[in-house]
Amino acid sequence: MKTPAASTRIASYSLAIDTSAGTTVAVLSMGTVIAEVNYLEPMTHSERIGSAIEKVLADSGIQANQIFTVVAGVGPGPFTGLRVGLAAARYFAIGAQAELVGVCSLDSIALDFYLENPGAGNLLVTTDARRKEVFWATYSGVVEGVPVRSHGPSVNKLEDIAELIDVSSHATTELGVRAGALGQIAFAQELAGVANRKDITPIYLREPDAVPSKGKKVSG
Amino acid sequence: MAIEIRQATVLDLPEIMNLETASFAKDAWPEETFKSELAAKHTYYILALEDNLVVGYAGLSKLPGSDQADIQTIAVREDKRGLGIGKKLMDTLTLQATELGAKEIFLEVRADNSIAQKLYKLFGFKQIGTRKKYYQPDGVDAFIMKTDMRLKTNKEPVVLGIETSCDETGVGIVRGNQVLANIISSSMDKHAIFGGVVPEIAARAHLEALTPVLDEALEKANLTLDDIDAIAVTNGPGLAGALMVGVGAAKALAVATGKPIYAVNHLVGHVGADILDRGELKTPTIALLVSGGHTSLLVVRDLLNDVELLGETIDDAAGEAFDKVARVLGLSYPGGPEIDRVAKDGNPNAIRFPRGLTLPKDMEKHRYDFSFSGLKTAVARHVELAESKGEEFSIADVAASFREAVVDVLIKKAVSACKEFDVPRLLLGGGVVANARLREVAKEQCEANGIELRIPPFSLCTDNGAMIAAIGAQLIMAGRAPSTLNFSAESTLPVTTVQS
Amino acid sequence: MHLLGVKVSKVLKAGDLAILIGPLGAGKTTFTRGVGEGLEVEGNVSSPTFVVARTHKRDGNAPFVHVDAYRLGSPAELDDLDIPFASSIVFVEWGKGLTNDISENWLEVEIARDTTGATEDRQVKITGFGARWAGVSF
Repeated sequence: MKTPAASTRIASYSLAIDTSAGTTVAVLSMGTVIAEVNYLEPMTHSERIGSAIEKVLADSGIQANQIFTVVAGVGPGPFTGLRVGLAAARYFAIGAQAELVGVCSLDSIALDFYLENPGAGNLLVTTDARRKEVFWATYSGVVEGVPVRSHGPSVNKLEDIAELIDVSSHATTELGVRAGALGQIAFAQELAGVANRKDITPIYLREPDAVPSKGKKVSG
Repeated sequence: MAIEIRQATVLDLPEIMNLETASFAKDAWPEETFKSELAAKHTYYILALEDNLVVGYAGLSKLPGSDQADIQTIAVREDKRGLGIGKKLMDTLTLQATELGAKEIFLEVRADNSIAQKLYKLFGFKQIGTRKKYYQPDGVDAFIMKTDMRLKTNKEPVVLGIETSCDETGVGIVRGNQVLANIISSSMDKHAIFGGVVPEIAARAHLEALTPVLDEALEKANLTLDDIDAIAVTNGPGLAGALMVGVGAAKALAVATGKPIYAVNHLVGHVGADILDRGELKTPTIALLVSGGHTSLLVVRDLLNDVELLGETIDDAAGEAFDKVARVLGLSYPGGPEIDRVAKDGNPNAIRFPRGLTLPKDMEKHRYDFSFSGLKTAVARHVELAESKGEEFSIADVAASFREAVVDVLIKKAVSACKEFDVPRLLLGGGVVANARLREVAKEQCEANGIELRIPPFSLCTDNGAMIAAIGAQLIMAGRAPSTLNFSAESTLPVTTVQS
Repeated sequence: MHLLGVKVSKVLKAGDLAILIGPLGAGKTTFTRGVGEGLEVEGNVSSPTFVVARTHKRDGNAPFVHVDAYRLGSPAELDDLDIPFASSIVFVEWGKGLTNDISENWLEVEIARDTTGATEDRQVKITGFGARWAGVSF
């Protein structure tokens, strides 16, 4: 692990990776996005992740070993795709000797919303969770660059959310997850001294629903 | 298809000219030119022969004292293309070039010959220039290509291999053919109550195990990532979600460290495991790979160029059959060791259960294929019948007879392949190799038929990262270019695709 | 059984879902092999009990996904596999009851075996559910 000397903090590069929806990767310098890609297709993560990381590094002009922090979007999201980005983040961090931090993927949508709508009130963020359900979280605003989450992340049928929160008082948005926003949040969290930023446990929200099944009869 | 490579002489000229004119039409060399090429002291021409007939040729030129060599020509008979002959010729030529002291190899290729260019790129050739309208009268450009042999003389590359195709996370490190570390983390116990591997559980376990397994492997080998020359990863076949974890991790590691990456076939990895045990793989060999997810019979003539699938299961894999029958008998998962335990006191000849696909009518379409579905059904029926009549039956006898049926058909077909293809070698691989009866019968039958039997140590037979690293090392030592970053995880990758 | 599968394959297209019902040894995999052959899929169509789902590419066409739900206990588990149903042709062995939320259209292939053990005869009943299968015959 690289030890931060005072001088290296001045040019602190980070790499943000998220595959909770599509495949999005970004390089940031001191919390400012200097290169980003955002592929929206939901099923090609393991094909794209390598070249996506390579591209943002090339576009930003920095070397892999200059990355000080890897920011991983920890979900929620469909499991299979989500894991690709998390696996990539873990191994990139080892290879580049970078620290690894985690940010809830839904938070990136909230940040972008509030950047576009400063002063806006409550926000309900939802993403597709299959099975006619959504992953969701609510936010009340942004404080020092970090979205303030009031509820979630959880997974429910869209109709059922109304029983848990006052939906009418929440704005909604069509925005999607963006690696650059995750990187910005991570940077802000570091400055604010947020405690559990190094928690990279994936937010699955559902257990693998495997149920021990009984044997099947042969005859009849 | 057994291809022999030997050096060409002037006596081979007529056959060569036939192929020359057929392959190159207007660009074909006149006979006199070819004759002097063959006779020259600074050239090296080889032939590819099948049943003593010329199916391809290639030539190299290297002046004494020079650092450079040139590939003069390469041709494969049209009906024999796409079978790895070109690769074999290139393998031999590039090896010869190195032995002659060449550090760089040059060649020219028609701009419109994308097939040849693809072959050259596989061997690390890159375009360095163009000769405009070089090929007349067509007016086609010539691409000048070059490869640097110094990259290839890395005699013993240190390769890190990553394996996540099923329920075992493996990271192994090799130096050439030698294992430096082989760390495996299995999620098997997590699947026990479900009676088999649950893809989602396996994939979650892979993500969690990735970092500790890598750390342990590096520590065991006493190396840092800087010491690694390349990364190899299984991209198929196997469970899609599980494969993706390894693929994503490996690609990121490659970019982070700037090391080249090789996407490797899992089944070919199992064959490569023998190299790690013995230092070499004697070819040709028949390989029988038996695990929970695979039951395949291969003929391996050349590990990297010529692996052919002779047959595989058309329904359940052998390991699966053990799991299902174990469940029918009320035993736990995994079924193999449980059936072994119970079968110890049983009579393997008590019940003659069916040996799938061994009838005369199967010999044509399914000669080397396997089928355990009928066997599994027969066992289940036997048990259900006894239970419905309220009769006692011996679990030990049923287990022993079932196991005998599986082992019988596996070894019979493997030995039959050895005889038919005149290959006196059999290699076993895959987790089911742990089954003592399988090994016992294999030894008996191989001895009786004059076949050399190879069974690598169990840690190399089960899914592991070292075998993947071994294939990576073999590819590097053969001068193969690394994979691009765009390969995908393929749950049904064919055995003919060694590297993606 | 194999030939019947080949025949059925001719009407299939992306988004189609079929479930196979029948006891062990009925011939569900054999039927599916026929479908795979008719669709000209890559790779060997064999029992995916172990891997649960196997995706077969088809040159330029919708991929064929062969699922064996033998070990799955709930529809949620099927979902965990992240199969792109809308853009694939999916066949699910032991699939009864597990696919209700996925589509309004599906085929049910029910194979019955002579359980007296007297003959090796099979009876196959194919039923289409949903507008997609209205008026389709083999």
